[in-house]
Amino acid sequence: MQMTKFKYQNEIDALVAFGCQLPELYAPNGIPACRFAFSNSGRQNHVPQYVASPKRMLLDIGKNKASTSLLALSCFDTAVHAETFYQNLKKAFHNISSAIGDSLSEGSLTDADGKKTATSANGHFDFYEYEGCDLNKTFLITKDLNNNDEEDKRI
Amino acid sequence: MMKKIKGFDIQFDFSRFRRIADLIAFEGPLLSHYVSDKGDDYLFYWVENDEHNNRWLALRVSLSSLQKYISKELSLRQLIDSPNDGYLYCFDVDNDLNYHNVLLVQPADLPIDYLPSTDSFYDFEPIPADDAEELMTYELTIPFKEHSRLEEILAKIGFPVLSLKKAVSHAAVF
Repeated sequence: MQMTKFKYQNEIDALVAFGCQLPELYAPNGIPACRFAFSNSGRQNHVPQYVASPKRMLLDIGKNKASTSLLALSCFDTAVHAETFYQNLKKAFHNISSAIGDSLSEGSLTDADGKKTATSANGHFDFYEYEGCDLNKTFLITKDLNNNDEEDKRI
Repeated sequence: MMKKIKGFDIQFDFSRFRRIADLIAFEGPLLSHYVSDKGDDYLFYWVENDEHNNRWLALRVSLSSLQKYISKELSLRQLIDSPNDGYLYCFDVDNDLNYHNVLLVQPADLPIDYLPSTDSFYDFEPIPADDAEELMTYELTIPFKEHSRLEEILAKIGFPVLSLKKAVSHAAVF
């Protein structure tokens, strides 16, 4: 039986050759998931950092072990967990929306889409897409994350 | 298009810095702890991007300040406002991970949208680098007060705390 390939299998193989390891992965079983996305249609959504341009990285992967996590998509199990994380990021990085998106998008992840890591306490997990998976077709933007009334505490 | 920043052009070699941990990350680093080849602790803080570059600030910090930040006794804003040297480095990193446009900048000259909120207390989990020495990660992540108490206890039983600190510093660099 032929193994299903990940969307970025060649890049994963290259990182494994550097000594990285894929984490333990699980079938998602159709769970609901939330991701951050750009409402501006000119920006690419659901693209891992390692293949984004420009990459938000500081080190040459050849010199320093990177994580295969950069080839996965970050997801949250609930909208509440996602929004909490986003608002915490916003306190530290005013321009965070230009890096990770300005909106919440929601959808579900099937076993045909790929595999997920274990979900951490804050609801976050990584999702490794299979070849042919395109979350742009199944995830919908549901909320503007920058539209809140909280006072700006930057001054 | 990135903002124009008031500062002085300088040459600064970041190539020998070693990553200790990503303190805040989401699909890549946003705030990372590095050590220089001299053993100094630095924070690399993401501030802005455009279609070609990501812009970062780097600032020298004390290990105790970092520990206080991790244990929520100091905010990120307080660290950015008071770098150890009185200034920060601002630089752009392109898609090929080349560093350029390095500037020496005073905190007062940073655009307001480069500043964290005054309530930017740490609410994340650090991700240690695979090759960071365990001791350094321990030094970073143990809460500052517990760390001080541990040092007190070690000192009382005659443990050479200073030697431990030197070993930690050495481990971080090599």
